[in-house]
Amino acid sequence: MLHLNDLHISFDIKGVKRKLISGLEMELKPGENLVLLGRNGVGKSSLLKAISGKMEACLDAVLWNGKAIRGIAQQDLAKKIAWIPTTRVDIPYLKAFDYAALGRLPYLSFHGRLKELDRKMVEDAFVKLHIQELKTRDLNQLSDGEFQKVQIARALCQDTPLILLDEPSAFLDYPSKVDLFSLLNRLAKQENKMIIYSTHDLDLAWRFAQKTLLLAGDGSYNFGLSEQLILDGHFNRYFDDEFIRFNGEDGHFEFDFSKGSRSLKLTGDKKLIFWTSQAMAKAGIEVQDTSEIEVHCFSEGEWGIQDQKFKKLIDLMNFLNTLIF
Amino acid sequence: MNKTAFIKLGTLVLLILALFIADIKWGSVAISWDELLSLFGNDAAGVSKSHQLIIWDYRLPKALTALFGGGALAVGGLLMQSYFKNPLAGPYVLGIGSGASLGVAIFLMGMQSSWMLNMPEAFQNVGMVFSAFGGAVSILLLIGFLSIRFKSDISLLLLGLMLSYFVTALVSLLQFWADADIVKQFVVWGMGTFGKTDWTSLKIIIPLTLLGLVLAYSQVRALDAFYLGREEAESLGISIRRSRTIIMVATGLLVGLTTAYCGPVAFLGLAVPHFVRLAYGYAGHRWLLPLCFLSGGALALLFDLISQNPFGDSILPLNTIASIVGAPTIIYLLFKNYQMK
Repeated sequence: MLHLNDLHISFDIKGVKRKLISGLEMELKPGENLVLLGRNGVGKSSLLKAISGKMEACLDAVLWNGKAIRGIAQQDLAKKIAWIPTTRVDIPYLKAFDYAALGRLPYLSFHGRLKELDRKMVEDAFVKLHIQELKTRDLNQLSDGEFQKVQIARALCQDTPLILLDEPSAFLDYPSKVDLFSLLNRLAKQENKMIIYSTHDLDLAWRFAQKTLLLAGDGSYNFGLSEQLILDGHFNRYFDDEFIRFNGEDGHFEFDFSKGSRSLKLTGDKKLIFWTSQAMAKAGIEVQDTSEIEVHCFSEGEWGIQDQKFKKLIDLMNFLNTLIF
Repeated sequence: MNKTAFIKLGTLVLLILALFIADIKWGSVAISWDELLSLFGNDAAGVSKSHQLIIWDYRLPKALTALFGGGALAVGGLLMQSYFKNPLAGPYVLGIGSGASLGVAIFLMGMQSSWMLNMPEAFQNVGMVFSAFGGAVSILLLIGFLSIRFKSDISLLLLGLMLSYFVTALVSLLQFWADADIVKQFVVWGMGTFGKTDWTSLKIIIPLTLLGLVLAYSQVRALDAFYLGREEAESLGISIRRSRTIIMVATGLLVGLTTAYCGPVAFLGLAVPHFVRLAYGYAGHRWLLPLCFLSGGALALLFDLISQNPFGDSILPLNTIASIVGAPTIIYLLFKNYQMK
């Protein structure tokens, strides 16, 4: 079990001390996954480093089963905590299998030779992640999504109860992000691991991470079940500004476009109204029920305005541009 | 690594054996196979005294020095390249070479003063070795001391580079003030040779090189982990500080010693690790290290053989041979490798 007890992180910028995290109290149990959210520079990466034992000043604040990690030898800590950084390393000629096998290092004797058991663990990691076909591929020929999974395979090889990932979704395309987050959720539950990761994919993260730690960057934070933080309005408090707003009803982010002087009224098919209004918002046209101009959305996917009918949205938009209203 | 790797390793060992014998057989004085066989068959009766002397006291020590010196430089290069994750790093990247040069330059300048001139030649040889080793070790200690304050490896590399410039400038200054024959002696030292050692020096070179190799081998796990970067290596349980110290000491021992006895031998240390990687692909350091040692030894024997100029009378400078023969080989391998991809 991981326990953070009165953890402080601050930064010295030319003699001026800036507090990032102050008095953080947090607990994580096996089987739980936690996401760190917050804007750039609030200390997400620093916190991950602190938990992994890389920050001298935080060694007493990170407790492993009640014992400060200062008292745990580095070699033993490597068997408890795996850490996956954001940056990708390219090692010429290295195969994905050999890369993942580096995760076995803490368990190997001085010459670093893999034993039968080690090989089997590496094989198993690839099987668990359904990426057997990547084993023999060159590391620097993997896509970013594939590389991320091979990194996770390495962490599995390290056989640690806790896995830390620093912005694992940073370079992934959207389906790969979803794939990755659901994988991390599944690993936590099936392998009974603790998983902590940071990300900027806000509206995806809360769907997959059971717990959320929100960092404000001024020392304050909120920690709890992701849904509880949303219900309590903390997501709004952290991320809303004049342009962006977290919708606590359905968990999406909404954007405010600058409003133009033009407005119109939409009637008809619900789905069509929704997507038409999205297009209008971008074009600076406000959708108002009081507007004199009315566009009717037919359920077969057509738009009617005055005596005109359009089969494509673009034709409607072009027509609206010729109207003066 | 698998069966083919063992075959490649076996081929390398056979190659070394062949080169070793060739290096003893050929040189400016022709020695027949019969003489060689009877000499090593403990039946030296039919061999002339001078040929016996050439084999036992010159060519055999020279071949052994090439084997161990070349291997040591290659391993030193590997250690620096892997530690700094920089393919341009070589054994002299931390200033060990320039440190040795300064030591030798100071010693040779001292020779100008009269009391040293009266010393026997043996003293001169020993003095050169000691001052070179002393210079190398002092630079390394200085770097080690200064590096306590540096966390970044780039600063450490820059530090080594700057110290090299500084020390090289001091050497130039010394050369400027020195007599012409001293300068020549220094230039000759700078060209490198394996032929200045005798059995007494080998009694120092071989055990200390082996010690350096053992130290280096104790760090193969750390060197593997460094592929991933410092912080990840730390997460894998590697103590960076301890590894760094041991790697520095091993490099200093291997490179400093070789440079002291053979001069700053160019090319081998930088090129052999690349050569090994190009030839064998990825391998953990528990393979790379012995492969580098053996390949370094083999190449050094080959270069020495060529520099002995078996088809002429004169001896060619080792460093020029190494670069003239070695650089095109590496370029060829690079091209071949890129065509395959």
